[in-house]
Parts: sequence; C-alpha cells; structure tokens
Amino acid sequence: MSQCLKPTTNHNGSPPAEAFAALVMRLNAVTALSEVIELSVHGAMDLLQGDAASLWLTDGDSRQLSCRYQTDDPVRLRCSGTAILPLKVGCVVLGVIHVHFRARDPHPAPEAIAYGEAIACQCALAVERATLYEQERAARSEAEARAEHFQTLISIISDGVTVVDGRGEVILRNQRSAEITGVTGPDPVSGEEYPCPSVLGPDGEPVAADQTPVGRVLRGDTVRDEEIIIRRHDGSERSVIWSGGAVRDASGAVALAIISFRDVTGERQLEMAKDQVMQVLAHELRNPLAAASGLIQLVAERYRTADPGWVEEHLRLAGLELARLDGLTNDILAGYQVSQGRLLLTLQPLDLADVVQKAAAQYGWGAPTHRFIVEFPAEPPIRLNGDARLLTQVVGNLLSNAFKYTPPEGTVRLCRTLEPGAVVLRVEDSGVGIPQDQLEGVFRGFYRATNLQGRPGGLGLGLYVSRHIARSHGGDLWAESRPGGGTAMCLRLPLDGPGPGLAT
Amino acid sequence: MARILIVEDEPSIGLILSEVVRGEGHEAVLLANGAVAREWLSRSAAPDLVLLDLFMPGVNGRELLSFMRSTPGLQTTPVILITGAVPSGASFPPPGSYQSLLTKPFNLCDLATAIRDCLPPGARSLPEAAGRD
Repeated sequence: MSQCLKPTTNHNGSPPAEAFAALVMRLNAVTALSEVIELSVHGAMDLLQGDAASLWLTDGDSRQLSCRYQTDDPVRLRCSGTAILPLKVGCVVLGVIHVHFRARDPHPAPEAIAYGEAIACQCALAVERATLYEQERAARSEAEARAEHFQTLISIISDGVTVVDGRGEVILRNQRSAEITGVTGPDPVSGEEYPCPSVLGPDGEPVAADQTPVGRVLRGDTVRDEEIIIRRHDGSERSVIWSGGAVRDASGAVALAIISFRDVTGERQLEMAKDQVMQVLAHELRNPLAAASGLIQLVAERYRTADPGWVEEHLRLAGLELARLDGLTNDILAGYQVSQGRLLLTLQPLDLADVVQKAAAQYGWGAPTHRFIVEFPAEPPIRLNGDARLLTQVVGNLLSNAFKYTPPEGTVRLCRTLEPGAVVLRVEDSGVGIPQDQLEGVFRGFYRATNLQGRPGGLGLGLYVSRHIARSHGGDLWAESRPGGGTAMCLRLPLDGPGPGLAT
Repeated sequence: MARILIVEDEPSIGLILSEVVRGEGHEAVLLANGAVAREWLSRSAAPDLVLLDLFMPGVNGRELLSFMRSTPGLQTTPVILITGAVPSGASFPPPGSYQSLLTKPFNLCDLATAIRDCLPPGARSLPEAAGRD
C-alpha cells in the first residue's frame, strides 16, 4: 500500500511519537469537517515528510471518491512516489489520504507503514466525528426551522391548535386555543394552571375521558369535523368543531396528538336567535291576526240576533287588533330598513297636531281602561318638515308602550313643550318604570327590560326604529324615569328644517 | 254543561274563546297566565277541558301542561293547545300529552268541533265545583 514513508522525523524535527500525539490533540480540538480535513492532510504530510498531500472522501452512497483538499499539485512538484492511506473506521472506508514524495523509497519499513496507518486511523476517526457533528447540526437546524415554521403557522391560523404529548400533557397551544378553552396561563391569584376545560357532547351531556378529543387521538383515532361543547373553568361554554390526528414514533406508539378546533358558538347562537325571532315573529303577528279574525267570525255568526252594542264593541276590538298588526308590520319593515342603513323618509310640511291626533286615534286602544290625557294646545300650530307616516308610527309606538306598561286605571299623558328651534313631545306613563341602568338599553332591537313580570308582548322593535326615525328627522328620542314611578318618553323634533317651521 | 278552563294572555283571544265556549253551552273560566292557572288548578275541582295557550309570560303552556300531567286528578284532563308559534322543537310539548292542537289564526267552527271532540262523554253536566273562582 505505502510506497514511500519516512517516519523518522517530521518537518519540524519533532520525534514521530510526539508529533503524532500533537496531531491527535489538534484533531480532537476541532469539530468542523473542513478544518478536520485540512488538518489531516497537513498532519499526514508533515508527519510522513511528504511533499504534497490530498484527502478524498467517498461521496454518499455512490462510493465514488472526490477530492476534498489538496496541498499542492504532485505532478508540478515532480513527485514520483505516493503513499495511499485508507481512512477506515472499523470495516468502513470513509476515503483515503494521498501523501506524495519527490524521492522514491521502494521498500518502506513495516513500522513506517504502521505509522502511516495509525495517522490515517486518527484522521478517519476525526473525519467521522466531524461528519456526525455536521449531520447533527444540520438536523438540529432543520428541526428548529421546522418548529419555527410550525409555530408561525399555528400562530396565524384562525383555528385553535393544541399539541399534547403521549402522556396527554399539553406541550403547545396557540393564542386562539387559549382563548377558546379559557386556559390562558396561570391563575393570577393562586399561580396554578387553570384545570383543563371539561368536554360535553353536542347534547350537553358530559363525555367520558377516553372519548374527549385528546383521549381519542391518543388512542390513535383520526377525527374530522366533530362537534363538542367545551365548558371552561369559569363555567362559560363554547361550541367547537374539532379535528385531530396522531404523530407516531418509530415504534408506532402515539408520540403527539395534534388537535385543531374552530369556535362555532356565534353561529350556533345566531341559529338559536333566528329560531327564537321566527317564533316570536310568528306568535306576535298571529295573535292580532287571530284576534281580529275570531272577532269578525263571531260578529258574522251572531250579528243578526246580537245586541248592536255587542256588535260595535267586537268590531271596534277587531279594528284595534288590525291596527296593532299594522304597527307590528311597520316596525318590522322599518327595522329591516334601519338594519340595512336605508330608512327612506318622504318629507313634507305637516302639522304635528295632525300626527298626534291620528296616532292617538289609532294606538290609544288602552284608553277605555286607562286615564288618557292629551295636552296639545292648538295654538301656536307646530309645523315642521317630516314623514307623516313614520312620525305617526313613532308617536303610536310611544302611546302603545305607555298603555302596555301601565296597569289598568293608570294614567298616560301626552304633552308638548317648546324649545328654541324644537318641539319636545312627552309621553308619560304611571307604569312600572324602567331601571336607571336600562334607560338606554330599551332602544336596542328585541330588547326587554328585566324588571317586567312576564312577557309584555310585541317584538321589542318599536323603540329601536322610533329612535332611528327621530334621528333621521334631525331630532332624538330618549327615556327618562319619572319621580314617583313611571317613564317619560321624550321625542324632540327640530323646527328649523327646510320647511316653514313654527308659525308664529 | 261542562266547565272549561281557558288559559290565554291575549285579552281579545281570551274573549273569543270564552264566547265560543259559552256559545257551545258550557261554563268558561278565563285565566290570563300560567301561574294563576296552576294556582287555580291546585285548589279547584278538575275542569272537563282546558284550552291552553302555549306561549305565555311566566309559567308558559308547556310548563302548565307538564304540571297537569304530573298532578293526580289532572293527568287525564283533555287539553286543546292553542299556539301562534311554529309547533316544533324542544319547547313544544311531547305528542300524546295533549288531545288537539289549534294554530292561530283559527276557524271558530274548528274550535267548536275540537271542543265537542275532546270533551269526555260524561262531561255534559257541570261537576260539583269546590272552591271555584
């Protein structure tokens, strides 16, 4: 194998053993493969007193040798002898070191061959170690990059993602997961982690531990789009759709369970709210319809023999029920227009007294059982520019509410006051009143004050659309609590619109 | 003559139901909500028939029906449900717990027929009522 070896002294004149030990120490001190290769080539060349050297490594699985480092061109130096030292670790040949010599020695001593092989062996170990280091560094760097990609991915997606290890311990969860499950970190008081949220089925029944998302995925199930309810540590519940799958280790055991979930609570609440609205709508519209229809059927059956007063009273009641139906449909239509941002006004000069009179006639249905006082002086006439139909609807809603929330024998009073450039219409009742903290809430759609015993009827849209109508006219509508009980609804309308305004 | 309890929170509809019941020759007891009706049922002799509005404030028709079906003496009292809502979902009483269903708006002839069909054959005379309103 070796054709020319001179192991007696190296270029520095050091004894071979010392020089060998120094090379081993230097090889042990470096981990980068390129440094190990360079050091091996120069070390072998120096120790064997060669004139040029190169290192070749097998290239992956192809077993082809490729040159990784060369000190000098042996042809240019006119080298005539070469020692070829295999880089062997055990039975595996990693490559070779060539050491070239100008002088040719056809008979190297056996100890010289052994010396060369010993050097190559140390170089081979260093090369293998450096290669492993390099592979490990590359693998770690790739793993870190993948972890970072994964972190970025789960932080930007809108679904909650939780990763648990094979024992069921959470090792990663994104912000959305924390929000949905309510596990956002240690309890600020006790410092303890919040307990895991409990899992309920879509029917609200508790789910056994091995049937929870974590339990099922750890058991090896792959799940797609199943619905559960998560009850958080504070008792609140979220409806979620979840999917999950397991990552297995080399032995096939589940190492990780990855679970993603989407919060559909809003969608479920919306569905329920829509159902409820449809039920309320059907009920509220059908009641006056059924009443008017029933009253008219009674009259049709009995008018021939009945007392004229009885007929008149039943027809009057039927008319009031139809007016109620008309008011509800107007509120629904106006509520829809308001929600779409396109409530259309047909402005025309009008006398507010006409509006009040019409609304009082149409909606003052509680009058027989209540005291109904209208204090609306004819002089001075109040003229303004407005939509007569919508303003009648507003005043009608205020009167209808006042009667609805005032017990029989109570008083409803309608009066007006003049302000600079505006008129304020007040509808006062002697009903249960509205709690101070709910005076604004009553203007929200479908709102019901919480101090009412039972359901007073209606859709809860009247005040919502009435305020929009008032504001569309440049005015406002607000509620005031009256000292001693009852509510005053105040409608302010400007007189300085494009119309003729207050006639003086 | 039978005694028929009407539980209805809408005054006009309560009036119509009472007039139809009286027109059929029976006695009408009109109560405006479920809580009052439950109170009345607890201390009065069982009526021969109940006309029950489903959607009412406070104790609603479903709750009152459930109370009746778990109260000795009222378990077999016939009930005609009257509703303006869509008859479906968990808020609706289970089938079999009532004898007839009328959806608002209803035809007065259908109401009279339902009353005749649901009254027990023996309820043609007014029962001796103790503690009646």
